[in-house]
Amino acid sequence: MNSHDITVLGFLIVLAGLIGTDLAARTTRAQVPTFAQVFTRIMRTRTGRVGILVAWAWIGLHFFAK
Amino acid sequence: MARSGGSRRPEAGGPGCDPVTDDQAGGGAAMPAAPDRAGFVERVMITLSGARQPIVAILLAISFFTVISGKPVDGLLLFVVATALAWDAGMRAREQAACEAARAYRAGLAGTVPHDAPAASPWPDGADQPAGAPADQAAGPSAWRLRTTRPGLRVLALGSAAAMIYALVVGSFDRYSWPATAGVVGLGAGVVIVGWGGPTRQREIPARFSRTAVIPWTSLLVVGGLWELAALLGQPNIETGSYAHPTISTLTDPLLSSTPGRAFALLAWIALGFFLVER
Repeated sequence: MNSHDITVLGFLIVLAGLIGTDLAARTTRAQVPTFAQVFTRIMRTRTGRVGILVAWAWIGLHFFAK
Repeated sequence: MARSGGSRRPEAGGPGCDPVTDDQAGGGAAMPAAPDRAGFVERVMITLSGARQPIVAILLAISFFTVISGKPVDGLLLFVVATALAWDAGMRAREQAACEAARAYRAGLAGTVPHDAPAASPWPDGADQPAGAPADQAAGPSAWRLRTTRPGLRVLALGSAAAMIYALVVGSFDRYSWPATAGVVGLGAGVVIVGWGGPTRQREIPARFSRTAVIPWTSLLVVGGLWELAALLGQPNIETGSYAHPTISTLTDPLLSSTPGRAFALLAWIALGFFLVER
């Protein structure tokens, strides 16, 4: 396993963690909020709402825009 | 359904704040007042207090890495937005503090201080909202007519068709070209403007989470960010991708090099935006 594989594996583990945490929050009694609840909570204020949407817009800019 | 227009700036601290007037105070007494025009130093302090917001800190970090990645204009724009958000959050916290002070002052004039008088929130935007408060109360008035349900099937079908057309058209342009830039900037700016106007859907706001409850999410965010940073620093230089230490951008390059791949990625981006606007 080279450094490329290790780096990719790290990202996959984080992705699996995100999916697993959301599944655990939805299907078990764990006191963990779901992904949607976290964002609903963050976006209850204008600062959170606009901040998250700007971060979302930045993703599009980063991958597609000049 | 809450619907409001014009300025959304709450008067003297927002809904429920009823500042004391000189007449009520009997005249002559010092009275807490809502914040008025601030000097430069005060403006800086207000902005710094708002920068404690996690999302502002995250935007500032993204701005920094965008600048050192060779996109200074994008980074500067993000910095301006983050600063504006910090200022907005700081002003709200200030107004709320003035409101609470006015309440306490009035209670003092009446000779009693209510034991249940809420303390000023330690969070810049009053994070201690009651559990289950309706969205239009918790998030303040919205410029949009709030829906209580998901969009109807017809609206969803029309929206999906529009998203497909958008993704195919914008995805047909080369990456980093001016047409692709115009398409992404146009949609991104439009969604941010919608977000600035307030929520579009009435939702029950979850109660504030305990620290332990959010540990999994914050841990994943931090670990993912550090892993990406490690890959970025493992590149020959900040602007050149590395096979040995690929960043997320490098890993997605093969997908985004084809028109169908770009269209798929744009659809996923739009779907994420829809999910967020619906919060």
